[in-house]
Amino acid sequence: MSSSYLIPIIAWLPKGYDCSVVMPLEAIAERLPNGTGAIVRAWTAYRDGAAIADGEERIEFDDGRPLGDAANEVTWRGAALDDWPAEGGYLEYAVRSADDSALFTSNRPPAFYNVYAAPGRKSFFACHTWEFGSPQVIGQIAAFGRYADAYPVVHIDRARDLGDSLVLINPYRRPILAKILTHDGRRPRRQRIEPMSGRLIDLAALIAPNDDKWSGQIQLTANNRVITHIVKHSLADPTRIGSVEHLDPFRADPTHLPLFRWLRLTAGETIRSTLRACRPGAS
Amino acid sequence: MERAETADQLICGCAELTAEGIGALVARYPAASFDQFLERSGAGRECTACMLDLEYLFTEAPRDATASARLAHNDDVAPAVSLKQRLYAMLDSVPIKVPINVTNCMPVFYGAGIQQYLWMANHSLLYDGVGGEHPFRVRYRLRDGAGREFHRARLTLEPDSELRQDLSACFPASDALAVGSITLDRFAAAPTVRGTTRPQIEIVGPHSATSLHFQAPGHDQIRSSRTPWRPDVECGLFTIVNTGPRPYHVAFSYWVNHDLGAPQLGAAQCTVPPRGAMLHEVELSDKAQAVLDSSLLQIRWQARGAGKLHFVCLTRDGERLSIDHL
Repeated sequence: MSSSYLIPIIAWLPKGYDCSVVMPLEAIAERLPNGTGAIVRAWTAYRDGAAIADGEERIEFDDGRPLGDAANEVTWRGAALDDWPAEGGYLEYAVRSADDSALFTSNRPPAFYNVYAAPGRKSFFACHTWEFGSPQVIGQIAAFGRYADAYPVVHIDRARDLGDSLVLINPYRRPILAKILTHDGRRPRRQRIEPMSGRLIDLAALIAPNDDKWSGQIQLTANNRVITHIVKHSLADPTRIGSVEHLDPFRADPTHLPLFRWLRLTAGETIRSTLRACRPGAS
Repeated sequence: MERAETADQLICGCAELTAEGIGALVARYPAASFDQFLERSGAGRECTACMLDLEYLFTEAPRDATASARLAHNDDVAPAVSLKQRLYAMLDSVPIKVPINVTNCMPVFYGAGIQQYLWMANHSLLYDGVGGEHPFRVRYRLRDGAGREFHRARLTLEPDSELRQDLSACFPASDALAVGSITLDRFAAAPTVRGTTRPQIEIVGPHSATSLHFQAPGHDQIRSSRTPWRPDVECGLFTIVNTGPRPYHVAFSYWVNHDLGAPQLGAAQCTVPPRGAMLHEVELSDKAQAVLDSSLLQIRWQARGAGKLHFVCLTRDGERLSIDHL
């Protein structure tokens, strides 16, 4: 279905790191008819409920190539911002047609990583998150009527300096209440995420002060969809981040298919595999 | 989240759309996609706070079959149902169901003080009995870099349970970092939902840990990614897992910006034996590093065969690492 926009994406802006949102221009061109058209790329940075910076750029494409010298990435220079809150902020990144016409052949943003770096610190990638319209969330709500992100591996270990935190971003205009549950019945207190704000929840709170370690899985539910990541970091210094990963919605996908549909799919895959193997130059 | 909307409850304040209005719109355009619904209603466009409620009410609203047939004649949203589709729908209604599985794969690290674990959970929704009510059968195989099978296992993941398996312990002890692979299948014992059963790996180093979910391998891919290039702080490694019976060829090229025609900085070729795995470290000449300066390094690769690539970022002191699928 054609669309005048790509679904906006949300990128976490942690304290102490630059963040480059690298939506490849060639992937945008693939969503334009014949790779041709004019688009506007716009971003807004938020912290503590307010937009604090923004920018936009018009980019024209012709036959799959951008004209002019547009950069592939938009970079938020956060490493040098000493007063950035520990909770972090977020960047909303949107792409729309320059004249509001239904220019894009699909409104699904391409897959790519946001790249985080800071002087002297390990860099890391993070998936961006769609602000809305995620098929997995839609399927989940249809099946269960409730929102739940699930099953990141959490590993807290004082001796090894292993820490985990949850990032919760509320890019919407009403507060969100979130509840975290662990597989072994631990229940940290409910979290409130103010509108257009982020929260960083240190999961070290899952273990008692005299406990050394805990590992397990968690689920999170909220009164609205919330953007979630799990951050693996130094327990002693949570700003020393090792990696960031998204959570997964509790999946409503069926585990079984009707026999005839399964036969159709299996036959199709067999034919594709055979054609691949017979292709000239196949290794 | 409790669902108890009344008909006149305002769902989208920006578009003044009520629950009843959503139901009416869905009944009028029963074949419309969610995006088409948003476009027609104008809801969810301003503050977007209602999006989850909209998604729920859109999917739950009854579709009026009579309206659907009527619209098929005069509305571009409701496509006619072809004879083939009707035949397929009839055949699919036969109540025989087959468990489905997509084989997933991941690299497995061992040596150099690294431990890698397989995690799987079959938990119910919010641990209160919805979903996760049937066991899953799990089987996996571990192979070394040359493709030799080291270990295989068959397990049952019972409802409301989780498993954590030490994969590195299955490989021989090694001082150097080495990589093998795991391929994993899972089948539900009875029709249910996937829930939390997507497997994950956890890699634990001396002073850091990282985790990642499994994915299926791909075929004959051309992809691209960008990464900071800071050899004094960290190194970038690709793990390449071959899931096929033939060699897997991967051609890497390094660029300042391929999309904009900026210069190529280097290239490398890798061939992974059948069912094998290998590590490939990104390396640039001094001249290429000077050209790149502080820009992100774009890495493109073309793979021929069946397999999966991951990118590992490891600090020079070996203390911190991360892994991402590509």
